[in-house]
Amino acid sequence: MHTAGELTLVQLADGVYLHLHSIGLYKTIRVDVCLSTPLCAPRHSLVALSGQLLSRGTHKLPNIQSLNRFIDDLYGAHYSVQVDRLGEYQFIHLCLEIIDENFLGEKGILARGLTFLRDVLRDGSGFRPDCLEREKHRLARQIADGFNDKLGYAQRRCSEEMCRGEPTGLSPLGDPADFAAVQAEELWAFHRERTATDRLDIFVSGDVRLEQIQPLMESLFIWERSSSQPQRQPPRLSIAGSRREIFECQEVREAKMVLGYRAQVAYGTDGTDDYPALVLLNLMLGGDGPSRLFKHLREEEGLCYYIASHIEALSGLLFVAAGIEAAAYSEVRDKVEQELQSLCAGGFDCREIEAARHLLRARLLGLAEDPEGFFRYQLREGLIGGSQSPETLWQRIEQVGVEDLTRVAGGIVADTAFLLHGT
Amino acid sequence: MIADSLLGEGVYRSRVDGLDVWAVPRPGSRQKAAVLYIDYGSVDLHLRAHNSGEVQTMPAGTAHFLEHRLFAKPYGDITEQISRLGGDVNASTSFTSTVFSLTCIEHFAAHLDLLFELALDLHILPAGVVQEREIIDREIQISCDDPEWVGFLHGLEGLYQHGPLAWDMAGTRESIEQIDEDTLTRCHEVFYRPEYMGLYLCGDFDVEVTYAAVESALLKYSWPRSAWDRVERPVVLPTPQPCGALSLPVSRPYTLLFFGDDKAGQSGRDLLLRELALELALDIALGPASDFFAAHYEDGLIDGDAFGAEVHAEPTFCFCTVGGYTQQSERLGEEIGAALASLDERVVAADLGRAKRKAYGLLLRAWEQAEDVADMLCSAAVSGAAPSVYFAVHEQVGVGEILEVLESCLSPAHQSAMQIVPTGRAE
Repeated sequence: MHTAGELTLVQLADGVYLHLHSIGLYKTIRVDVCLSTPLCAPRHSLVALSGQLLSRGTHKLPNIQSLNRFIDDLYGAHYSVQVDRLGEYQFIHLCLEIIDENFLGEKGILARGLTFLRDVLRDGSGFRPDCLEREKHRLARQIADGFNDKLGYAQRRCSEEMCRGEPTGLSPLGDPADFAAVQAEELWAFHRERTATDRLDIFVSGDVRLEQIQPLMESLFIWERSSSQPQRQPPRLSIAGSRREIFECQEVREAKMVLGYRAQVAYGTDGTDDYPALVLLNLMLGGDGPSRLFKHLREEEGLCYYIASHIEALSGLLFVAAGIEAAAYSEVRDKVEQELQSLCAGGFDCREIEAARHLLRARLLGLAEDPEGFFRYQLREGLIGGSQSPETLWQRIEQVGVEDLTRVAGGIVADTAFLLHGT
Repeated sequence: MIADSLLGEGVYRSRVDGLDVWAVPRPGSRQKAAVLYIDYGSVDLHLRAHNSGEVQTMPAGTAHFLEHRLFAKPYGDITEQISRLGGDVNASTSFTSTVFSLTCIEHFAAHLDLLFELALDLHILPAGVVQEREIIDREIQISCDDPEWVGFLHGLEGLYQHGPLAWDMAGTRESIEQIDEDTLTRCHEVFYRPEYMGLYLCGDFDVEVTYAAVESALLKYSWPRSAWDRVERPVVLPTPQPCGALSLPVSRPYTLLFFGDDKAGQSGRDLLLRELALELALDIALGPASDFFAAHYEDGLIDGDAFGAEVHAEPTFCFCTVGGYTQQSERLGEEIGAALASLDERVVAADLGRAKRKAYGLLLRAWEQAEDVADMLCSAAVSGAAPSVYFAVHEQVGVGEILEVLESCLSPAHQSAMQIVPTGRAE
C-alpha cells in the first residue's frame, strides 16, 4: 500500500521546508507551520513567551477582536498558536484549517490564510511592553491551570522529576520564574533571530497541487536566512538515573500513579534502530486495545479503571499511568514490574504479537487520513532529518522477531515512580 | 436508495431487518467507520410490566454497566477479536444513548459482524458482575477528581434538581451495588432491539454489499418479546434554583452559567433550528469576535482557551453552559448576563453574516473524516432529521430566531449559576 494521497518535500530556502500532502478526500485544507529549536533553559521561557505574543495579532489585525473577526470571516477557520515539545525540541506551532474553495462561492481564501500565517510569524506587532506584561500573566495562569487535570498533572510531575537537568524535563510553556526579567524589545530580537536561523517546517494537507502552492509559498516564506542553524542531532539516549519514588498529597479521591522507565532505544534515521520492536512491545504491554496491563490489572484484578502505557519516541522513555486506590500502590507497581519481567523472559505467545501487529498495521496505514496524527508523525521525521513513511515503519514492524522483543524488554530500566494521593 | 445528498456525497438509507441503516460511501478513503447507536441512556430508568402495567425503577448506572459488561464474552474480551482484525472499538453511555463506535481499514463485513456480537450477544456471569462493580466504582471515583465534570453535574442539579439529568451516567457507589444479572439481562432484552437501534456507516464500500453483510450478521440474533416495556422518556423542563459553591482542589475559581430551555421537546428541523439559533446567539454575544470577549480578554477576566459556551439540545431536554476558569466568578457571571441582555435587533442583524459564515465552516468541518461522518449521521438521526437539514436550517436561520432564544432560553429567568472555589493550593 502507498500512503493515501501523495507526499512531496520541497526545500524552499536554507532550513525552510514545505511538506505537501495532496489528498482529495477532504473539504478543508490544513496548514501547520512549525518553528523548532532545541529545548534548553532559560531559552525555553523566551520561546514560550514569544509564542504568546505571536497570538496577539499583526499590523493589519492589531487587536484580538479584529483578528478573531478575520478568522471567522474565513468561514470559521480553525486557528491556533501553541508552543509544544517533541523529544528534545520545542516548537512554535501555528495551525490553520480552512474550507477548500471548491466548497465555497469565494476564491482566494487559501492565499489570505497563508499570508496571515506569514504575518503572524514575521511582523512582530504584538511585541509591545503592555502586551508582554499581560501575556506573562496569562501564560502563568495557563501553567497553573495544569493543576486541574490530575492525571495530566501527575504525568508532568513524573517527567519533570525523572528528567531534571535534561531537556526532556523542561516544560514547553517555560518557567514562570524566568518571565519577570524578559523585556519586549529583547524578546522581539530573539524571535527575529529565530525566524532567520531555526528550522521552519510548513505542512500543507488537502486537495492542493504543488504547482498551485509552491509559488505562493515561495513568495511568502522565503526571507533572508543565516546558515548557522544547528545540525540536527539524532536523538540522544537519556541516562538512567537511580530508582526513585515520589509521593505528593492533594485532595483527590483516586490516586494517580505514573511510573517512568528508560527504554534505552532511540528513534533512528538509518533503519537499524530498535524502535519498531519498542512500539510493538508497548502495544502489548499497555498501549491501546487489549493490552496486558488492561487485561490483567483491570479485567482480572479489578485494580483500576484506567491503566495504559505510552512511549516518547524521541527520548526513549516509557511511562505507565493508572488511576488506583492509594493503598494498592505497591501491589500495582509490583504487578507492572512482573509484566515487564515476563516480557523480558519471552513469556508471550504468537497470537499476542499478531494482535498487536494487526492493530499497528491499521493505525500506520490509516495515519494519512488522520490530519493531526499524520502532522505529528511527519514533524517527528522532519526534526530528526528522517524520511521514514508510516508504510516503511510498518514493514520494519513486520520483521520484528521474538528475540528483538525480549532484547528491547531487557533494556527497559525503571526510573522514577510518582504517586499523587489523597489525604 | 439515495435518501439525501451532502456536499457532493450521497447519503443512503435502508431498513435492514427492522434496523435503520444510514451510509455514506466514500471512494478512495482508507478509513471506514461504523457507529451502532442504542436509544438507551442513563435517564432511562423505568420499565413497565406488560401484564400488570406495574412500573419498576432500575438502579442508576444500569445502561453504563451493561455497556461495560457487553465486552465480556465466553472466550474473553471481544476487543481482542476486533484488534486482531486491525479495528479500534469504543463505547460510551450518555444521558440518552449507548454508542459503540468502530474504525478500521480492512475486513469491514467481519468487523460489522463483531460489532453486532458486541452489542447483541450478552453473557453475564455473577463473578463478572462483581468485578465490573469494582472497575466502575474506580471510574466513578476518577470522575470525582475532575472538577469540570463535578461542576457540570452540580450545575445541572441547579437547573433540574434531583433527577437522572443531574446524575453521573455511571451511577453511584450505592446504586451499582444493586445492579445484578437480572437487571442487566432484563434491560438488554428491553432496549437492545432493532426498533431502538441505528447503524451509521462511512467509508469506501459498496452499499448493497454492506446491507447484505448487515443482514447476514443480524440473522444470528432473535428478539423474543420481553415481559417489560420501556417507559417513554419525558421532556424535562428547567426549574432553576440557586446552587451553592463547591470547594475543590483547583488552581483558581471556575464558574459555569446554565441556561435551561423551557421550549424543550422539539425534534427534527425545529430542534436543529433551535440548536443553531442558540449557538449563533451565544457566539454573537460572547464568542471570540464579540465586544464582550475583546473587553474581558484584555482585562484578564477570561482567557481564550479557558472560556467557552456549549449547547446541549436533544428531543427531551435542552440547555446551554457558558463560563470557565476566572479570577472573579461573581463578576464573570454578571458580565455574561449583561452581554446577553445588551443584544438587540440592531446588534444581531449587524453581526449575523459573520456568525453564519463561521457556522457554515464549522458545519462543513464536521463531515471530514469517516468517523466524523458516522457520528454526524447518528446525531441527525437522533434529532429526527435528515443530514441535509443541518444545511437547510443554516440557510433559514435569521434575526427573528436569534432574538427569540435570547428572550426565552438565554434570559435571566432560565439561568442557574455554579461555582467552584479552590481549596487545595496550586503550586
